[in-house]
Amino acid sequence: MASRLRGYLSQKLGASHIDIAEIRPLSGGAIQENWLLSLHITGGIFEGAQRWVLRKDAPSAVSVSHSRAVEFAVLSHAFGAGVAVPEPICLCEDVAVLGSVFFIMRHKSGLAAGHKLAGDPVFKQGSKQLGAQLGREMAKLHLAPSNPALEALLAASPLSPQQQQLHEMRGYLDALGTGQPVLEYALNWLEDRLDIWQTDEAKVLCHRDFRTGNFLVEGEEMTALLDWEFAGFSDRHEDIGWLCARCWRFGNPHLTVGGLAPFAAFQEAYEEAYGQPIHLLAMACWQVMAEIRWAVIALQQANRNDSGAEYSLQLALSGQMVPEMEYHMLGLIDEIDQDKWQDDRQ
Amino acid sequence: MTPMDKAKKGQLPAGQDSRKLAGLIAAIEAEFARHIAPDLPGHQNFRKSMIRRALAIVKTQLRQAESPQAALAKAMGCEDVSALARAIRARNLSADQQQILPDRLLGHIRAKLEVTNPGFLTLYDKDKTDA
Repeated sequence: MASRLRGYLSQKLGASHIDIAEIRPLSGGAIQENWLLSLHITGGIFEGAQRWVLRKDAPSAVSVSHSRAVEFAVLSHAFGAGVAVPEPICLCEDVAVLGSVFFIMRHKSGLAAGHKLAGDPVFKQGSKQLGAQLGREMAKLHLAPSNPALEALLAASPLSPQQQQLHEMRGYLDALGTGQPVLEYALNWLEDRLDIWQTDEAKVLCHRDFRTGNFLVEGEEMTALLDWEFAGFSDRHEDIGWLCARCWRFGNPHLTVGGLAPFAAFQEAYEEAYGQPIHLLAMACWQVMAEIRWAVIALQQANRNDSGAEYSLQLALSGQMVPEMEYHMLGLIDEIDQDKWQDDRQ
Repeated sequence: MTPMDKAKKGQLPAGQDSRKLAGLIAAIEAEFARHIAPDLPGHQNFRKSMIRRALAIVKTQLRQAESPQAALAKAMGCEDVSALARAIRARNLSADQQQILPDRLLGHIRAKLEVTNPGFLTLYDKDKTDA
């Protein structure tokens, strides 16, 4: 791997010599593999010591995620819009180099692991500083001007984001072939509430996996938003509902923003940067959809094990988490119906 | 019917085998705890916890006389959960069924959580009480 990579990078970056001091896999990334590269480059625009991350498909890549080429394009777009992301370095579409398409980005320091962050005393009480920064960064992304090239890459559905999600989730459930009464009930509930769920706002570029675990945190600062493989044009409340979903709070249920921060700090910073208020009921409905979506992904992961496609205890246990999402779904539905939903106060 | 077909229908293995299976699982658990887990290095903690969790789930599930899926289907008067899911999607439930559905679903979820993650109920029930 090292010699082929050295040859490729020397040519691509115009370097006269590259020393690869270290290549090692980074933890996480069931869908993609991330490798840390420590390099010393002589010549070219990146001369000097460099710490980069190489990202390529893992064996269990899922078909719904973007290709590395599309992810690189979205990452580059977000970087250009000033969102806190790792600087994109280069994309290699020649599969002869490493066996699959990959891209390289600058390494950013920080911790992503949700349980570790949520267990840190700094975050146990909630960090207003981090909440506000997450709000500003998300607003920056939602304000990023689009362009025809990006729109062509992220082909948008003619359906509204809400109807598209209902359609997709039912399709995934059909493909799984196992009866899921709770998910069907929640999907019907959302369909019956399109009047409060749908906003008449234009679609914006959304990360669509903006949650604790997918951004790096150092101190109380988010250093980079990672994993752009599900990005697309959607209702901005999809990102807000996903970040604030109850399934992504890692044992801190009282902290709405990813189990790390109170909602008020996030909301104030987001609304100030975006220039429009958050529609709280729309966000609450997206929270319900977040639970459904994560439950469907967990069922798909478990199905990979159960079908014999890839035996893995981690995949099998994903399916055992589905009742947790179902519990949140019914809780949210009851609270919204009873006008008792209070996540904006947590 | 294959074991996977049975599982999809929410059926557990035949009762006469469940005790033996539970004993086997308990023996694996004890073997793992006594002889394997202590020698595993720290970076394998995640795998250790996954194995413990999986064994606990199987052990608890085997103690249940009826699976939560089968209990839900029976409570709703359906052949199995797949039939119930289809009826919900098609909005084919009777008025009586629609009325009891949310409570039955919540009971079903709680029964599943008793198997998969009892600590979850403790955390969230406490959170609701505190709120």
